[in-house]
Amino acid sequence: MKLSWLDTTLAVLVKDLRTEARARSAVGSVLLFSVVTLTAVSYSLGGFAIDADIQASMLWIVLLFAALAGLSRGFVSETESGTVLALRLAAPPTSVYLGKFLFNLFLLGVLDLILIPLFQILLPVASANWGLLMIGLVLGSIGLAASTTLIAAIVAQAGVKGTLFTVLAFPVLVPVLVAGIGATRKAFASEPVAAAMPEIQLLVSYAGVMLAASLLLFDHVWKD
Amino acid sequence: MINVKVDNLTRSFGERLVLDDVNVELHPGDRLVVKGHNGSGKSTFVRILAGLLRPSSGTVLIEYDGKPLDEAERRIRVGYLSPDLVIYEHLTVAENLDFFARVRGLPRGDALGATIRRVGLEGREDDLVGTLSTGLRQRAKLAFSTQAEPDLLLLDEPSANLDGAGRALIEEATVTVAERGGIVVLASNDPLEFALGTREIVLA
Repeated sequence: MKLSWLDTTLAVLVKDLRTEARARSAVGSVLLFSVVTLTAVSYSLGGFAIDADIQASMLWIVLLFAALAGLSRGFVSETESGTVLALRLAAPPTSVYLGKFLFNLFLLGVLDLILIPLFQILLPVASANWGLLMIGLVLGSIGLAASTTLIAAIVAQAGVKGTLFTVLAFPVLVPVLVAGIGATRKAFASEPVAAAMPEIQLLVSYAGVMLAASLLLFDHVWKD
Repeated sequence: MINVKVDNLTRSFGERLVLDDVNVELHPGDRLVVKGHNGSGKSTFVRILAGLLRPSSGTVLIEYDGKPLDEAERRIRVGYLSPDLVIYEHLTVAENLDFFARVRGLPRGDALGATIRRVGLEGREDDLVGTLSTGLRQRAKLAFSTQAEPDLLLLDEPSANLDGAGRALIEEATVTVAERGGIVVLASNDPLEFALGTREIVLA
């Protein structure tokens, strides 16, 4: 009986997708939060024209808060429903982390796909380097998913989960927020990809470091 | 073959000492009943054996063929059933067992069907676990605990919510594991379950 980490990771991912398709606990909160926030921001700005810097910040603030609202669900729902015990007994920790990470990445992908067209409708961008915007969003989403998955695993063991998740996640997410806003600002200013290399490098480094650190630390978080 | 050696085991929760200097050695074929009043540490003892809790002091050594079980072997060789064990309510019985077989690296397909038949859930395998009665959920949990044919079966109040036929399944599971050369540890306050044991310890 040889276990493949890829197979066990995909098993966790498929299980989460199947559960989510029936329970809709994470997708609902992420999408509702982002749509409501974006709509509220759009109405509060009224007819004022805003420049690329502010538009980039708005987009990432909505992304960040939607992530804070929903990305902890993967682990929190396991502890709230009591299934965490069965998962700990049966599944390899690395596969649990990677499966949950891929699930959160999927959620952010869905969020990006819905948020960007909506953003363009409510806070239209005159012209943009869409390729650079996509690079920034994909790399930022990987970093967001890597860090929030580990933090969610820590928070899931605690009593006041929602508050603790926000308090722990925010300082860890500052680098990805700064680099993501920087890359998006340059994308909205139609600058070439080369101009955003410092931000892209920071996003790649952040995602790599967070994934590596999470894989090293998760075993301890999961067992204790 | 599997062996379990518990030496000077203690476990505290904050200031409260729950297990105090527990010593026991278990050998192939043993069926140990763990008795004690509510709060005496029966569930804590079983959870420590399952690797879900660390001892405050003392050691728990689980060996298979003379070598300590590693994490991967523990997921297959140790079965655990307790009231706080929950499987996925939004998945069907078959989907649950298929998921757990996949992450444990167990055979799927026909083997899953055999597990479902063994716990008397044939015909209900496509029902969501959340729609099952409490007794049928307990059977689904028994399927989770025994699907890998464990060498060490840890049972905490296993007959809770089970009818006569369900109790017979628990008895069959304990006898099967012991006859295969495995070990059963059963924590209970139920006199009917005491009869399943060949040895006992009483926690104060």
